[in-house]
Amino acid sequence: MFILTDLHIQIVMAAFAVLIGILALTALLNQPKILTVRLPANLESANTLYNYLLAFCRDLDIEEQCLFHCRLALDEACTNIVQHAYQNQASGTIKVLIRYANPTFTIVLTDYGEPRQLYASDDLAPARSLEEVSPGGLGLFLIHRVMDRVSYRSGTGANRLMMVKHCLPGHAVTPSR
Amino acid sequence: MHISVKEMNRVDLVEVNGRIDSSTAPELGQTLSGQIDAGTVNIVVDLSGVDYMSSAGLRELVSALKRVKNSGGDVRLCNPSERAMEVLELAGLSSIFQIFDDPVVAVGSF
Repeated sequence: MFILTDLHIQIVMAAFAVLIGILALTALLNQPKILTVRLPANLESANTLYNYLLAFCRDLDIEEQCLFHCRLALDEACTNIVQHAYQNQASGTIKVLIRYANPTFTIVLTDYGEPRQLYASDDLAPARSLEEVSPGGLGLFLIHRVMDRVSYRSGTGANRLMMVKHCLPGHAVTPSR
Repeated sequence: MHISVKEMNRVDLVEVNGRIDSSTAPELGQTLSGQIDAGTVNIVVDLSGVDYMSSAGLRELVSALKRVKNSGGDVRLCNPSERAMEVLELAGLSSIFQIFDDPVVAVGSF
């Protein structure tokens, strides 16, 4: 017959305390990291954004491939906004939010320019011959290639492009598409 | 970004170093257009020093390729860095260009 002693109770309580400590530490480590920045809508801002991204990732365990894909998507999205939403007029701004909650990046770019048509990924296909290569849409195509989820919404004077990238350890080198 | 051009007998070797994005790609486009305007139709673009290339760089390369193809020439790429090669592959353009590991071989291929 098992007799519950004070020692048993103390052991169980200590185990609970350790468990709660581990859970609290895990929650602390998984706190999302967020950066928001507002930049002038010009082509140089794409590279400025990359510098922000690099600084943001400095203490994160991010594989270089994932960082490269996020850089490419940010660059293409920023360029699209400058050239199409603001039509290269210097007065516009781009609001950028970068959020990392292990292991997922969420990047949101908001502009206040002209709404534009951003095609769904299924409407985009790689060129098979030189004649098929169109100068337009290549940047958007690359965004869809390197990011796991892309959505675009226009309304109330603002356009919002959201891109999501999962950076799992050992993530496939060839992006899904 | 830094660009240098070496003019040879039948081929121009264009060496590009640094970042090719929407703010720097026009310079690459102007260089390639300038060579084509001057009568060059065979061009090798050495991408070994390119650490980053976006769709803006791809557009300039494709634009030059289309121009010289019309005159019976070609734009061939040489030793693209890992990241430049990945962007070419992602865009589905790696099969459109002839790509070489060595500039000597690339130049000699014409």
